[in-house]
Amino acid sequence: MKEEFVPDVSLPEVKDKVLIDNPKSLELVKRLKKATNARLGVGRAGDRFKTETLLKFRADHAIAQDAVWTEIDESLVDEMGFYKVQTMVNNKEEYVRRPDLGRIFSEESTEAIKRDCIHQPDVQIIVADGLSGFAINANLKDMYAIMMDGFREKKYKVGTPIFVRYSRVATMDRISEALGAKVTIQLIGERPGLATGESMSVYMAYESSPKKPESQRTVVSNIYSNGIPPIEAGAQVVHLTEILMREKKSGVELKI
Amino acid sequence: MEQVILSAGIDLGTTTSQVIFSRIKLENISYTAVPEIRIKEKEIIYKSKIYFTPLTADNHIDIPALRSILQREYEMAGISRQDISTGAVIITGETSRKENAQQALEGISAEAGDFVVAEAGPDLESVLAGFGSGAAAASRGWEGAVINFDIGGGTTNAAVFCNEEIQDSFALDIGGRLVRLDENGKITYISDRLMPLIKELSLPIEIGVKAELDKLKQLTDALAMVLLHICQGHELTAVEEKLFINHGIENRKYKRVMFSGGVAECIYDSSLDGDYVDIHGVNKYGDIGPLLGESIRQMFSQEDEIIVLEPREKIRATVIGAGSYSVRISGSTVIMDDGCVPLKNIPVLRLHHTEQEHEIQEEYKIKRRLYPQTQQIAISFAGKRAPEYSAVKAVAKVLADITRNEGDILLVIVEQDFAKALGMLLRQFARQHHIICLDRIHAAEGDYVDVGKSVSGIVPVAVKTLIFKS
Amino acid sequence: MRLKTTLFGHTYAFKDVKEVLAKANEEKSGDILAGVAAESTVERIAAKTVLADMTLEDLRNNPVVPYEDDDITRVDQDSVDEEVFGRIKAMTVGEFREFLLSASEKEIAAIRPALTSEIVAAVAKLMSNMDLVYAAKKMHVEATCNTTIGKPGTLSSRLQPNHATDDVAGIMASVMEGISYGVGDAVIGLNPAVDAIDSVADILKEFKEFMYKWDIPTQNCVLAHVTTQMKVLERNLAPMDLMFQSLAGSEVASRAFGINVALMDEAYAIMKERKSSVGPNFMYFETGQGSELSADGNHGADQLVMEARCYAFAKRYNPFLVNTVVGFIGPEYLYDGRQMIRAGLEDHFMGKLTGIPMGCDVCYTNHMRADQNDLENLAMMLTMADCNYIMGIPAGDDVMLMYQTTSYHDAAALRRLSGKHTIAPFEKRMKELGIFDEQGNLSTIAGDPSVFISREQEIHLRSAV
Repeated sequence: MKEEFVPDVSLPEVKDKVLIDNPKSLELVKRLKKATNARLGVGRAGDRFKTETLLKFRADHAIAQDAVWTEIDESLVDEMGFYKVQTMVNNKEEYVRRPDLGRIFSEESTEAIKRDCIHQPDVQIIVADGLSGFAINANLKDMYAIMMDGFREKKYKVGTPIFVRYSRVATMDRISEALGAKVTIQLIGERPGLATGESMSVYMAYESSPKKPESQRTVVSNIYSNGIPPIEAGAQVVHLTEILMREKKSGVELKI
Repeated sequence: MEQVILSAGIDLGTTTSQVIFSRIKLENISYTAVPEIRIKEKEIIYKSKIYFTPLTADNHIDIPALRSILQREYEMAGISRQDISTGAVIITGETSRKENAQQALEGISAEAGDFVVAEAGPDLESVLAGFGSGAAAASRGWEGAVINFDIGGGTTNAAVFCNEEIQDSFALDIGGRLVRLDENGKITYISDRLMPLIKELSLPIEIGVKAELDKLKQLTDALAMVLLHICQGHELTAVEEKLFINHGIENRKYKRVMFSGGVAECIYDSSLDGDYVDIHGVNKYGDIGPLLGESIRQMFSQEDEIIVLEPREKIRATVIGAGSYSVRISGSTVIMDDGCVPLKNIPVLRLHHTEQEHEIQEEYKIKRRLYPQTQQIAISFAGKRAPEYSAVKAVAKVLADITRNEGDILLVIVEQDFAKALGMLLRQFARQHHIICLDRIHAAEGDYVDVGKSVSGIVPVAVKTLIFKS
Repeated sequence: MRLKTTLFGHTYAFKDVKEVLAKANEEKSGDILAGVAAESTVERIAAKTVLADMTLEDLRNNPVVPYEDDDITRVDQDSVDEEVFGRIKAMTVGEFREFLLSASEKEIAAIRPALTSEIVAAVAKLMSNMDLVYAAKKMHVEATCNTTIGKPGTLSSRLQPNHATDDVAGIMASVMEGISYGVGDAVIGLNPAVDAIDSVADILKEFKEFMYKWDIPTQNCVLAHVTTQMKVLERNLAPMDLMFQSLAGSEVASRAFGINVALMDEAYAIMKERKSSVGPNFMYFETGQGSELSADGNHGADQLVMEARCYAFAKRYNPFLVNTVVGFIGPEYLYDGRQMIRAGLEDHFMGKLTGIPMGCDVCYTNHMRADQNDLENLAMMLTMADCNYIMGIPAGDDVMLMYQTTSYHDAAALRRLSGKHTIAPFEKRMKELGIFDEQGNLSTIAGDPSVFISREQEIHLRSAV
């Protein structure tokens, strides 16, 4: 049986359409649109959006909202053998409201990390759900694979990979300190933009510590299929890790 | 973060030659540890005077004379050849058909710098002139395409731009010096390429004959008419068609026209009007250039449908294009080995089928035979946007495998952004090779590439398209 | 001063004015995060009751950050007109609320010089949403840069043509489309992606050229850090009609923004000397509840009172534009649409009461529990409250700052809904360009950026001959 589909408004190319009725120069409007990501040339129904513009906008916002509020599907990190811990946060709402709790662990969790994970690694990889679990599941697999190949090639001692639920960036400082890691690398879901629920960032620091300012961190962001491809980001992280290991510093102290 | 590189452009034309230097400012606009370099600014910092191209008695380029011109100009500009990181030499118009063009290029590299890209070919010249004249820039934010006619002594190079992208290019045997006169107005030279047209018009234009103004004007009017017909999308006559070099064009209409080249100096300069009352007035440069300019001006000004745009540069358009626009920059995350560059005139082996390993092997094997085993080649393919790791790994393995018995350098160029990942894998799988793996560059089958030293992590690459459309 | 009350048989005692102010605040996630919010709804009302009983003098005498410690407290306190203050200091906050609701515009304007931030914030805490709209509607604050905004019957807009990488062509594409919707009579103002002197200057020039070419009566601005803009002025790199800075409500928090009162005084002085605009008002400030806590500079006070202090800071520089970027900071400060709407109404009211020409960036981020409907609700309420201006951005999507604000469409629709107009000279020009019809509504050609195809750069050969 043949199914008929209503056109998919979530496709990026929907944004490329010119919806203005009888523009003076369609060609010029097209070119103006090409010069920016902004939603230009959408036309109007009275003084309001056309239906397609509104639906596209609502769809793009919907995916962003779902990225924030959906609990991460942990089957991937389970399958990849990550060690799992949780911050002091108990649920998504608390995560959003209380950034302070998303930066710290209970004493028991800290002890468990110390007990169960490899100490003094050259490289400690941490995966954090952050504001988008979708980002982790979309990008982790390939990015992790190329990073591990790169680290093996460099013969780095890689620590136990850790997944942190309800995590802010700062958990990397606590884990790094607990395990005495040299380079700590945290992959974390970014705050979603419109239409981009899958964007991930990487924070890296040399001897990452809660005592150091945030400027200790070297950042790679916008990692997803329409931003920096995950494998390219992974290769860049390997490259940056070499620099951090060599220079023994990170963030603003490092002139890259 | 900003970095500045210097670029040179050298134009050896049928009639005139010149040098320009430009400063290209690069800036990193990224906040993160993944740089994003863009060209912030291009500024012409030095323009040489315009020389008559030095020719020997037998019409060859006078290489020693040319070298001393270059030496002098570099000195005047206060620039030494080591300062230059990119640039291009263009041998244009009829000159490029002179047999000693290649010799000339080799002859000047000692003065000009190692960077230089030896270019020839009317299509590329058209494109560079269009960038240099400002036609490309004018095609942005405006209605419809802009066509640029760069009218020099020997040829007219046309390029069509839309939103700063090249749409079409072609060249014609229309130029200011295709008919030359002595100081008495006697015709001393007529290009063979004009003969069919002269014959068709039954004009008494012959070598040794004293030129009559109205007859010459009929000829230049006819040439101007060809350009107008191109813009109007008219069918061309068989004789007119013959003026095309290498290939013709599709019939399209162009409403917005720009002129550059030496003849353009006469097109836009209405103060020259009074000079054309007699043959002596016209014969300012010993050729039909001014008259051709006058014909074009008259003919195009009568057309309400066509808008003639003022160029940014006229006689210098090509050299400026060569100096500033011939070089592209790679993506910002690449694998580079600066010890291996500059690489010049590397033929591109384009892989069209990179989905399956055996397809890569087969396609490579067939295409590799076209070049001697010792020839350095560049492997190029498009690649997928955000490709999967396993797929890239497989490609890397095959590439390492099929190039196992080749020279030192494995040069791979892809279009999508994954050169660092691919290059990292190539370093693992092809340990005997120096790896250069660049992205965000399109290099097609039959192109040649030059690769320069990296600047701020990006790599300047000149992609030379030498295929002539037929 | 009484700090205790009983409600429903329960005693509620507060330690000081700061605690009363904090607990009297409507629920905000930022106050909970700061640990200063009321612990129950009844405690909140108890605090409001105690606050209503305080005199304006009590509030004046108890700034939430001590005078000795903070340059903004000093700016605020030193600007009080003691004679006027003497007349109203015995009024309680409850009475003050009733005064604002019943007095005329003129009467309110007359007591403005006596107000401090704590007074302004306190009375806002006693007002319901409709009270905030009702009171704000009778407070008009006009300001003049190249043009005059804030007149009754107008709703202006800032054209915000942000671009991910500051590409000038891309920015100008958004400008063209924005003007074609009649947006931009407050300012054409870009948030730059890169805070660099050259690109800021380039964009300022580009805006100015567009304004000249199409004769658009407005002002240009690039919202870079004030020190960057000062360098542009020092080096005479570009015409600048308006100078921008984000403000925070304490000296400590301002430090995180890279400013203090002395620096702003200096910026104001150089702007006054070198600006390209004509009127007496040439500063533009943005604020937003919660920024003090996020910069560890809230001094244990709630985010509403800290926000009010920004307005006292802003007032020192006779600004042309001030707006709160209400939903930008995130859900840890304003959790959802309800809190965002409340904050928007409070900020607008407090700004007007302080005496600054107040607009609002009605907005939300993707990690807030808010959506387009919340944004539209607040925009309609603020229009009713005679807010000076809102933002206008292509289809509501800011592709650089990654948040959603009011669209070009919203600005046009709100004007039509409320019968308001853009400022008169702008409307006149839009009519000349055919973008507005005779009534000042969008014409059939409005919303088409290609109406700005210029013929000027095209030099016809025939004219050269």
